[in-house]
Amino acid sequence: MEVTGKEAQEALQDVESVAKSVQGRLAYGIVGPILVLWGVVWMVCFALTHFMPQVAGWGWIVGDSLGIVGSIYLGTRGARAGAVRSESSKRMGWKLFWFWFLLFIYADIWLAVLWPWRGQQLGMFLVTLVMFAYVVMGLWLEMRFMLWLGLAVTVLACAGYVLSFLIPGYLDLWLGLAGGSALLASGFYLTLRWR
Amino acid sequence: MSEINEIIHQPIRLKVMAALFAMESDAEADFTFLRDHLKLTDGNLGAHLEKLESAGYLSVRKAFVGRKPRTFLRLSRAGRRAFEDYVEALRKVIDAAHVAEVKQPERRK
Repeated sequence: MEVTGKEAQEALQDVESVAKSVQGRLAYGIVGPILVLWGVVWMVCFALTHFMPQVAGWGWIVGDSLGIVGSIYLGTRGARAGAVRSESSKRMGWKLFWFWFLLFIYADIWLAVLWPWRGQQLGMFLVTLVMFAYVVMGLWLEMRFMLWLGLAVTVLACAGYVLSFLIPGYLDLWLGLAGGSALLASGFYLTLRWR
Repeated sequence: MSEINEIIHQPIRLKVMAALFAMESDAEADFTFLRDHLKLTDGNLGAHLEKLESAGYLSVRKAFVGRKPRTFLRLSRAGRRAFEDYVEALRKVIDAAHVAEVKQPERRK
């Protein structure tokens, strides 16, 4: 069978577009709902920190626990119901689990060493740490969306931190609104785009 | 012009092969995933899968997940190699066409 250059070009474009859409769906299909969950957790918990600081500590414990359990549930449910199965993706799932688990262990060590800190420093530390993990994941797994999301939220958080010296008392609200809504919007976008 | 694998070059089979090739080499995809992702009907996809299976390019596994029967598809080693050769052949055709285009204006001069 013989084809012309134009036909070959079109066929190659088809191959690239199908490969891109399949890889996108497999990579982001599970991530979308997890981002929505963390967007809600951040918004609620940072709002609680701003409006009801006396219960914020417990709020974060409950919120983070729900977030962690929910992420594991959504991740495993997505993988099980997932239309594509492979041993290598299963191994990758476990690697990601240990990556996040160890990251939080290290975060606890750093926080213990850096004590005493103010509430706002803690908020900034955790937001930038989680976003750093997004950036690493984006580079590691070649998920460009995660890379840019991590960088964008970090910039928003840092801008809020700098502004908090001029307009004090609103950083938590800013982190909840800017960070939380960025996660929420990205999560909805990915869920709808790759469902 | 180069020889192109006729079995793979058919538009739907090309998409099926491209989708399976884009996954991990040990991955198997659910029939319904491919059908929905490539926007095909059961019958249409089934017919093309048969052709690819008879060429030895993919293996089909039927299993029950819970109580539901499901069909899983996987690119065979031969299928993976055939697809790589196919893409390589496409690139050669494009390169040859490009060289011909460049030479044509030179001849006119």
